[in-house]
Amino acid sequence: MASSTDNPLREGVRLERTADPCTVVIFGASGDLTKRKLVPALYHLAQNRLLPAEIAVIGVARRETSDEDFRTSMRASVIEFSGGEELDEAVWSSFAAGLYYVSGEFDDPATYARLGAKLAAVEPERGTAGNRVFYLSTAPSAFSLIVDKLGDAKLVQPDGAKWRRVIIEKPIGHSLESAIELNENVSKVLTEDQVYRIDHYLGKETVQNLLAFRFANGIFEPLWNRNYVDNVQVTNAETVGVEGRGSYYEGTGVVRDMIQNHVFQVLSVVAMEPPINLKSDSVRDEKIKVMEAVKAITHDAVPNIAVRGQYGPGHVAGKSVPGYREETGVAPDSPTETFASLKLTFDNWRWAGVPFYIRSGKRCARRITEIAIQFKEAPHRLFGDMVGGTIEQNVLIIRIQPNEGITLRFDAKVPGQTTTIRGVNMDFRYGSSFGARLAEAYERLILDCILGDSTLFARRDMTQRGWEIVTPILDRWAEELPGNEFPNYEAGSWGPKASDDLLARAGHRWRRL
Amino acid sequence: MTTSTGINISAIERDLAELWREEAAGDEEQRAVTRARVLTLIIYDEKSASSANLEDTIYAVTEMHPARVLVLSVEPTSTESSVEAVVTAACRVAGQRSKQLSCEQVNFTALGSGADELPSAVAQLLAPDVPVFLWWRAAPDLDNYVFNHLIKMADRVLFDSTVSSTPREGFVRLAQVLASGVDFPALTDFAWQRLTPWRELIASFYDMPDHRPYLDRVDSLTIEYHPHTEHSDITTRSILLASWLAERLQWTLDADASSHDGNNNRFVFRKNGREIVTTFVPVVREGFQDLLASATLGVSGDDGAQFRVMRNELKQLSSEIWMHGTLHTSRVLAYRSKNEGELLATELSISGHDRLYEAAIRVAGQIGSIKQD
Repeated sequence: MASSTDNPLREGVRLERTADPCTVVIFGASGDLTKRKLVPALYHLAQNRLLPAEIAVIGVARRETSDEDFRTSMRASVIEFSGGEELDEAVWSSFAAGLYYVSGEFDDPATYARLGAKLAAVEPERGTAGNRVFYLSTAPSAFSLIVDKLGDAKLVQPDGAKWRRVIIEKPIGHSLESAIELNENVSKVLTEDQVYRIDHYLGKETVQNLLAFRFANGIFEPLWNRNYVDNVQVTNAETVGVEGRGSYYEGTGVVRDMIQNHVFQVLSVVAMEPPINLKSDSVRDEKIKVMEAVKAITHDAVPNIAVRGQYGPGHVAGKSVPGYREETGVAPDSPTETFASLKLTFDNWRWAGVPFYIRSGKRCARRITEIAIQFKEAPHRLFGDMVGGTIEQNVLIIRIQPNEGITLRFDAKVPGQTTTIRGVNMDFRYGSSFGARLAEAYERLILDCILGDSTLFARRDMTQRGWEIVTPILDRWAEELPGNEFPNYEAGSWGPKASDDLLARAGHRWRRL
Repeated sequence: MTTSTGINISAIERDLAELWREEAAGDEEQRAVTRARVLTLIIYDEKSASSANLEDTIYAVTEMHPARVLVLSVEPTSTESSVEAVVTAACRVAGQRSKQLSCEQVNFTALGSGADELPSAVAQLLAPDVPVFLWWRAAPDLDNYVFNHLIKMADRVLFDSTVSSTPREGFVRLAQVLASGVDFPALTDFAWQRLTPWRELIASFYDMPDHRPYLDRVDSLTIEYHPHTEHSDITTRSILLASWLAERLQWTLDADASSHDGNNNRFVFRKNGREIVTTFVPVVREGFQDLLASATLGVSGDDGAQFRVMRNELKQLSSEIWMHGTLHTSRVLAYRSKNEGELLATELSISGHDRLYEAAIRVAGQIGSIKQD
């Protein structure tokens, strides 16, 4: 589609961003993600007029069902997963008229023939201009296969002005080798600019605001380096367990599931240098550059920089919960880690000597994802032992979930005759400062893909770099199975004691959350 | 809440400071009170039926835009002359460990010529460093003393041209001001904002490259409107929509060929020898007063087309494309009429001049200048 400058009526129209007409093909249409996130996200985009009228959605899955039954099922999902928001029947009817379904096995060429026929019928009918997004919301093992078959069926090749894009869900591989293999297979059919590797953390408002916070303000960037920052703590804690996905989680673990992708993506935005502009590759070039600077972890160093944990029985939010090894689908002697903390350092001028501590786990005390920048103490303790209260390090906290926002903690004198110093939090919360409904990460990411903006998607090199960093840790842990060492933390706690010790060795401690 | 009678700026400032103390003192958990403030909002309100909802609107708006709000409630026709101020605040609990003061509000009430004291009081209460928005809840009047002084403090003036009983004259006057080169603040007209979905839908017809050539062949524009309850003139929204299209598509108004006699509102635009006949057609429908009914861009000839956006009986918007006399596509689209608070909240996010609106006003001024036959 031509740009807005080609359409004289587009200029200045106060639409946030205008998407091209297109067909979104969802592989795995009977799955949980489609019901909970994808179709509700598409509906909300349509409701907010962020999608053009010329849009169609084709679900593809094994289950036999009709277009009409698919619409009925998706209607129920949108109602259930829209956070209590009332369904706008008129919008839904208009949107649902563009919902279609194709059933078939992903490895069967006939499925793709049927999909091709459906596209041929739907595209002129809905006026989608031949543009297509293929969303692979399937088991990871099917990613290569589907891309391959789409290529064979000639459904995914760009055709003149008609663009074709593929969104790949996580995980990208199960190891460095499998990630490289998947990327290689995909690249046989698609060019890199057609591939959108989704990482829903990057769609979160606060992660996007990190760029604005760092590079739109003049006061923080001068402090954002080894001269002023003592350490950085990234916490990604969940209160939930494996939620019936025990068999998936077995052999995966928190490092593969969360750290090498989501946490590293967030980390790269915290640590990167300023990009020269906000073009997709300019931002992603800086992200990969800083991740390339992560100090290589040697086999011998693993015990000193990495801690693993697995939860045992305990209490979360007032309820008793079983240990990981008691979960359905989990082996009674499972070595899978449900918690990990790492100490990373960067070999570059900005961050040399500054430890970046990462912890991620299931069944923690609270659900929270945040980045805490701990600043160094004032160079001279003017307010030393002579005063009451305590002098604390300044901390800048960027909360990603829940309650997205930013907090700055600083010390202030308590009013009165004595010189008592006390820490005070200054909060900025999206929910209360800008009361607008925050778009779901999937809404933002799907819209970005339709708009052709890949800034918030993981590039091939980044997915592989994540695996490169964690592979020595995973290898060493695989060699030294934990056995009776697990479980080593109680559900509802902040992980094993070794995680605290990791920081204590450097004179640091985790923030109390 | 505390009260100050008359305008005593020191007392108002003391009361504003007291708000912090009250919030902190009333909190047994001793959570820190912080303040977020991104703008100053001055609201000028001549008492009307909608004044009753003003507090709800302010509450909703400051949830999105933490602000210092200065409400000026004025009865200009009163024979008395007085002014007084009341300070209030809305403090919202932003989390378990802190409270955030998101709205501090000063209400001024002025009768008669007492209103003339308001601008100087407002000048002393503007929050530093943040933009100033003036929401003028009355017909803008450039001869009004208060309006004239407040616009000099404002970065943006928000008003609703539909409240004017003489909309065409209002456009003529506004067009003159904009053409005069006077340094005027940015303008927001809620009537223009309400056109946004219409403009979006019309623009979206021509996002399709196949449809774009039709823009160079349009030879008719028909706008159906539901007349205003208080006057039978062409509505402001109809004029603004036509003006926007004319400006964007570089049509020039042929004043000599245009006529306006109440029932036959026919305006002729020209471009490169092509004539574009624009017709405004009143359609009376109960409960739809002042709303647009439809807008149709027509291309005549055997390979002609019509691009139409219309409001249905449920007040939803739908669009249709007719090619060669046959319905080509038809859609019902998401549309929900925004309330005043939502319109305001959207506009407070926007800074700078809306050049498109100002350009449309220049054309609207030309349309308004066509004398009624």
